[in-house]
Amino acid sequence: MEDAWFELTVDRVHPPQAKRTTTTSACSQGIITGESPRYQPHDEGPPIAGALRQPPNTE
Amino acid sequence: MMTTISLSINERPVQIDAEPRALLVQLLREHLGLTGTHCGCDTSQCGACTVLMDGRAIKSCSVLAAQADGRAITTVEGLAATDGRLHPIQQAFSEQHGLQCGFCTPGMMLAAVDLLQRNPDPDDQAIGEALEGNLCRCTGYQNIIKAVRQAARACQSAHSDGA
Repeated sequence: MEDAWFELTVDRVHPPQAKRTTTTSACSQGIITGESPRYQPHDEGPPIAGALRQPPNTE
Repeated sequence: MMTTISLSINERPVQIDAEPRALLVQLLREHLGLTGTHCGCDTSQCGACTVLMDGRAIKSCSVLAAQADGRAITTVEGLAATDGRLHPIQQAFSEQHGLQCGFCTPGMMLAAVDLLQRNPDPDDQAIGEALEGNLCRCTGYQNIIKAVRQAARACQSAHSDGA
């Protein structure tokens, strides 16, 4: 009985389809392509140093 | 004192002023915002900062930005085609799940690209030797090696289709 429960649980966590085709999350996809929230394609020229770190609004 | 550096990054000409002591990885990440290249150990041991310089894999934390003057640099952001199609090594890492935390992944992929340019059909030993300068603390390397094998097959297939 315990074996049956175990197999059922494993089957739910790792269904056969999931074993055959691994999925890559959006986060992992960003790693693979080099994109990140801070990255901006520099179509309009490269950003200067520190441009992506905005100073705090002191007003 | 600043020095002017002219180089090609991902096939785009770039001219930028940087301190003579600036490292290439600093130029990429902090000056150009190309944060896909990671900086891990800062001592050329982990390989997370690997990029291609004139087609060969180098560790950008051990190269001065000024040394890249006049060179062509390829980072992970420049691997995919301009229409968004992934490079075979990117596709293989995705399909074989060759990453977990992802910190080593850009360096692994670029070291693998260098390998496949020199050896289109590497065996597991050749892959292991090519990636020995790139450390991964998550995957146990198995899926990374599978991904490189898949990419090698894909590159060979694309080459034979185009021939």
